[in-house]
Amino acid sequence: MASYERFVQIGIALDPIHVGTGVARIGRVDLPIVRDPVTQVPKIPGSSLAGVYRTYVAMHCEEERQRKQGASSSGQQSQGRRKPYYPDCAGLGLDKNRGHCRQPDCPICTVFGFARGAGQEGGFAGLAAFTDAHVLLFPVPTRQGPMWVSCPMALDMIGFPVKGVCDDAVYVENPGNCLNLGWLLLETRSCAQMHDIKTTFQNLKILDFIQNRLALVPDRLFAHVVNSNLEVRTSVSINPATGAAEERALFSYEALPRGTVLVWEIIAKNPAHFSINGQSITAVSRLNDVYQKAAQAHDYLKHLGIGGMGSRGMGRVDVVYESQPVSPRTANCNSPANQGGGQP
Amino acid sequence: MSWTMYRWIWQLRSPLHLGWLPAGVLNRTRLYIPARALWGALTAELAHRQTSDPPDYKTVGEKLQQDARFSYLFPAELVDGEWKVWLPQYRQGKGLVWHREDGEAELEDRRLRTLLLSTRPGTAIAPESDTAEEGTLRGFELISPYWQDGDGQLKPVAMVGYLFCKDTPLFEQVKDIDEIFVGGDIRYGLGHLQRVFWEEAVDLFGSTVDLSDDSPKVRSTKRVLAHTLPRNDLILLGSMECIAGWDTAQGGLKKGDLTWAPGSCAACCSREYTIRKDGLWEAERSQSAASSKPMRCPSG
Ligand SMILES: [Zn+2]
Repeated sequence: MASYERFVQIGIALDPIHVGTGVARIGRVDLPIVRDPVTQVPKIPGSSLAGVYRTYVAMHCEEERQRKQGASSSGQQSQGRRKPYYPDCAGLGLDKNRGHCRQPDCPICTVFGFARGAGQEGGFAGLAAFTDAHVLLFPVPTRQGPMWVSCPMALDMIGFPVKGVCDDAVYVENPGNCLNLGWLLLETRSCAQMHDIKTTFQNLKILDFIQNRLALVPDRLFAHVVNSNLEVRTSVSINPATGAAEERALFSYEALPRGTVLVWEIIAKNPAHFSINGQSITAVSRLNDVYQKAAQAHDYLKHLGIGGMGSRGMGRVDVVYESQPVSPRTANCNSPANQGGGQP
Repeated sequence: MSWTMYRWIWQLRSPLHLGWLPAGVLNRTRLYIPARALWGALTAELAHRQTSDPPDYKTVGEKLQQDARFSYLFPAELVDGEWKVWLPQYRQGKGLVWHREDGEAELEDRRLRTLLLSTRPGTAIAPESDTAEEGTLRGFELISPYWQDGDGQLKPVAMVGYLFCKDTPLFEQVKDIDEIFVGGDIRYGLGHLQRVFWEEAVDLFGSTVDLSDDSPKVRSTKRVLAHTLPRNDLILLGSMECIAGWDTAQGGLKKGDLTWAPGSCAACCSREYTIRKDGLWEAERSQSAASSKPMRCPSG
């Protein structure tokens, strides 16, 4: 009996995405984004994803409930409120009067868990877990137009370890003259396995125009390329009384640019193995139900987005691939196409 | 029935948080995985695999305690294709230091922590206002999946230890599990470990082991590599820690034991330690305790 299942998700940023660190001012940017402390590549923490998914699924349930109710008794939407899905079951839920409902038939509380409130029984960790979202492909301006850059470390996350990307160079399908990735000028090398990599991306529903503009760099260069080509925006507060810029209110913030491709996993646990206050979970019954429930957030992610600066038109993510991991395989950029694909 | 012993290596696939004493709003982590945490993770996974009904954690957990034992898992780095483990040791005048299994390197505790740890701040977002909720700012200390050497190359991190087993079917079941989730905030993707190495072994981090008795025994070691129960004739140099834990299958908070922390070091001669069901170590009665006189902890 499967204990859990992992579902790979691939999303494309429709807007710049700013998931802030809560720390102000690092270097020239007032509001930096979260980075991996070692690789220095920006990412979206799993806790941020979990919070956003929870909120949007709660919104969805509330909408469904109101829609059903509206159909049966017009104009009585707030009457007979059976279960407080939103905002009560969203958020931290510690509020005494409007906290999580903590019921085994609540899709939000079972899938996303709930905290133990004051004077209440134990909490529940939830049936869905969310990994950090990592940058899989990053758009960079070059003199040949935008290219989407990846690296072995990133490809490893979709179960496609690539070897042979070692030199300080950019690996492309058709090498030629040097190529600039932003300000960084690199020699081009051929990657014999680019066709396999493209096929993998095709299977992951990544758009054609991205697949046709792939470039690989070594892990150590990836962070430089990403960090040098983040979107840094400058903003100023407007004083409503004067309609002019507020003194000393100029600030800058950075963001993952539009077109960044992110990968994360949702790990669904088997509802049959858990109970809440001794009662079986009835809101979801199979592993796939847990995942499907979480995936209800995807429409909202596409329109309402994730992270800060939502009011400035930031954060929308289109989830293009929702499924299980692709079967593991490898590629070696140094070997001819017909010799690749073996185990490492 | 005698034990078979295996060395196993679990690579970090995500950051790892192993609850320890907090410091203000910072939730600190241990640098090693206690046997109990590993036992808990494996019990859950084994129980889930056996049934589609509510799992019988109690039976599975007891069976696992009966027929298997676990060492603590310690952090390791990949050096020329080989995993080298860092082990704790308290030193006279120096406090806690870590030295590499191959004897090639030694680091102060705070230095190793800077290489291994990162912190992650977090706040809860209030859904009504879409802004940070008051009073929820906190930090998590995490073991990073990469060493922070700063030389540009990414070096993976793994946790290394030993499994003892005396039941073949159980062994096959445990061997089948090559991925576990351990420690705190698993629902945010933390604590994902993948087994990358597995081999029958004859010694535990260099100490010989007696596999013929009811419980495996670590022979002649001056240093303990698990929380170890104190006894009157056991004189160690190190740190003491009270170990308590939740056991929902046994009905709540498990009694706390005052123990010697991993890395505590014998002030006198080497001793033999039993690896108990709960993962704690317990010193065997010393044969030479009466005759030996206290010595300084060795520096090697
Ligand atoms: Zn609820």
